Amino acid sequence: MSELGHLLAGFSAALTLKHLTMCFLGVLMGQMVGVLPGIGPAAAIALLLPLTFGADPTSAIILFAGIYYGSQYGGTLTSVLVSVPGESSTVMTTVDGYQMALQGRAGPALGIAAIGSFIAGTLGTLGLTLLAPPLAQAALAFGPPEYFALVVLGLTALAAVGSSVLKGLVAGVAGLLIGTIGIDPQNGIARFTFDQTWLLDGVEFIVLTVALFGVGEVVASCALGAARPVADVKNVLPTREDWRASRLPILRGTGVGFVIGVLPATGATIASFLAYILEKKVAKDPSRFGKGAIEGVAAPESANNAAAAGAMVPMLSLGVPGSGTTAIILGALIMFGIRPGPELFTKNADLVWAVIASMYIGNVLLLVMNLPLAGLFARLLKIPYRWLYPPILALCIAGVFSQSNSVQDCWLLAGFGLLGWLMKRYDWSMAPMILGLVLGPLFESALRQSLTLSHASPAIFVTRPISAVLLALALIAVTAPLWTPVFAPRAKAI
Amino acid sequence: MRCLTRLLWLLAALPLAALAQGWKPTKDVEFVIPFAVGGGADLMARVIHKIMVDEKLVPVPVALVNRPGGGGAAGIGYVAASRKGDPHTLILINGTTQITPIMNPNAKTLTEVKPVMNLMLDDFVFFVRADAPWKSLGDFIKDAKSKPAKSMAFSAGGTTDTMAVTVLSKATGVQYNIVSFNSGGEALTALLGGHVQASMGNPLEFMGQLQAGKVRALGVVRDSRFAALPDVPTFKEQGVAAPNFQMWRGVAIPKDAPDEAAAYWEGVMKKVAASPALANYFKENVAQAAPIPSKDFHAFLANQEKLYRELLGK
Repeated sequence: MSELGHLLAGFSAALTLKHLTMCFLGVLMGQMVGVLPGIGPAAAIALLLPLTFGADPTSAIILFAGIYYGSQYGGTLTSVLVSVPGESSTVMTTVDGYQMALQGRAGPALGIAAIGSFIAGTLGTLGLTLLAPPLAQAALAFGPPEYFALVVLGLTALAAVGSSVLKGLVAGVAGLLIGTIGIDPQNGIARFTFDQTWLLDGVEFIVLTVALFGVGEVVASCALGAARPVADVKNVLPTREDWRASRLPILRGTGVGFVIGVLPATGATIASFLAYILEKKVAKDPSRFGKGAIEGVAAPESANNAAAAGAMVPMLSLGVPGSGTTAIILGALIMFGIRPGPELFTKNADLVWAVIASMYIGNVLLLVMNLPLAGLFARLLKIPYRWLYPPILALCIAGVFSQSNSVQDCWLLAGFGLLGWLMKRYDWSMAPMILGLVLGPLFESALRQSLTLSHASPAIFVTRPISAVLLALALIAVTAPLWTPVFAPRAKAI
Repeated sequence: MRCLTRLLWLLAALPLAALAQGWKPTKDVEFVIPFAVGGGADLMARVIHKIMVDEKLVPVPVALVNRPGGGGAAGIGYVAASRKGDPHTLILINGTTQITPIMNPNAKTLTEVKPVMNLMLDDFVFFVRADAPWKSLGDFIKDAKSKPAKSMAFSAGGTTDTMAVTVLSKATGVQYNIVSFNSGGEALTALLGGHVQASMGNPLEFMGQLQAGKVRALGVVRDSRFAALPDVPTFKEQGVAAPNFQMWRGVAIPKDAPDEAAAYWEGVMKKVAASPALANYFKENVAQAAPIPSKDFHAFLANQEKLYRELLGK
């Protein structure tokens, strides 16, 4: 049977009342999980797992997949409205999305995020439908040196996301340093933990993010004392102009997101960073970014949804996890007595295709759910900001605490919140610091794994073709300002 | 409603209590998982919890609490500080919690708890890709010996996998190039991509690939063959004198809790171990049921500690 035949059979299974209900429940829960910063889709699925024992595995996997991609929609909401990223993959949305909200354009921001997510989720699922086995096989070519080169390419963006090159680099390196706290991933030695047991696992990404963006924003607003003008909610949905500006970023974000998602060691978070940076690089006027550019919302939101679909590719066709969340879904399959592996597509075709079909349906459900919600939630901002402080802080604390039930994390939240305020006060961009912390561990692991493989010879990075190409791209990105003038006259002529 | 059910529970438990003299729980029990939601240890704790609830083994509610961090040290630190000597506390313990203080002496784990019973053992299997030239462990070692040291790269998904490669290295006198990954899944991916020549890991992650014929299992590090993998010979059968190396998972209570409470919980865990639901969980996870009662558990742990220290060179 061809892919299309399989897919039609999948749809006929997914459209039964039972599976449709599960799909709806999944995306609804995903949406809610996305809003709360501490609980991610992986934790939500793990908590639900024991409750689904004995259930029909297809229903359960449809539910879990729904939670996964649904959470990519939900995380946007708090990012845009109150500058608290609900999910690690919506950090970049916060940068421009919150600025748009301040300008009274929360509706278009949420609207374009929902539309972009829908397009990316659907195209990503299409990619999963048509290309899964060959793509997954190709992704295996990515070993430690290739991941290292990819991270280097991402790091070249450190300076690009900040307000100034120097500040961006300093904040980025600080983020990388924070990433080294805890148990060394190669030798198991404790670093910078000052004999504190609770620091052995390092600083959780979500703690730093919520502190810098959420708490920092609240403290900064309080410190200013001036009442923030109540945002005038203009149009609720994106205008024709917004749509025109976002069309290509959505497509580019989808492409970047899907490819990064398919790679087993990288996921939605890195995808959203790279998509944002790409937009800033190709934009005619990069200075608009960070000040409410709609492309800065459309691209990363598309990328994280495409990445969620992409992460299903290695999971379903090879049985290897494509992200933390798919690792848990793999665990779920095992609990249901289904052995994930290369034979899943043939041996459990009914399940696989019903899940893929449910992803098309789930994305439609999410669009239908989110477009009216965008308008509704945008109106929330009519509430005077001083009434919003306490619930925002409560959301930050509850979110961080719920991650690992740790009081120390709450103290870190307070400390980094203060730092966030100082950074805002002196116009330091926070995104490079977060980017440093996200990429740091992968950077270090990939570098050390590569050098272990090569017996400490750095030649491994340039003798392997994929790695060499990625490093060349990074070099071009860094040196671009030097030779752009050469092309400038021609660019003007256009 | 909840009060009523609890009252009914108490009434139901009364005749039992009269029989089993000694301690029994009188208030809500906290089952502390010193690892993050979703890992192997977490999942097993949730299965044990489900069996305790479904089979009504405990007359009071049991709540699951994840306190992840520091290789088990954060969760056990929480128990030592906030639930000191409280017999209404259960803690999931495993090989990782034992390795943590060996690596980082500041992190206290097993010294803070009273181990009650071991429930399972997890194996370590030697895998190569199906298209690799080596058909047996002997082939591989012969090839490795003919090349310069560290020519053969292994992917390892964590400290315990690394220790398993060390077992092989010590037994054969060959140095291998061990590349550490963050999880068994990543180690498997590196093997499938051909970035390393071999891998050592728990059977669970590799099972799908093994059944699909993508990887080949050359040996298992234990004294007798594993019933779930009857075709995989042991290291010893192939002339490699390696000690039995498996990872354990069990349950403990706080250090200063009374011995009667330990006896009570051991009784509960024996019933959990006898449950078909647990047997099924082990079957799906390609693990071995290994109920070790508390009188033997302590000696077992001391033995493991000696082996771990030797392998880690500490």
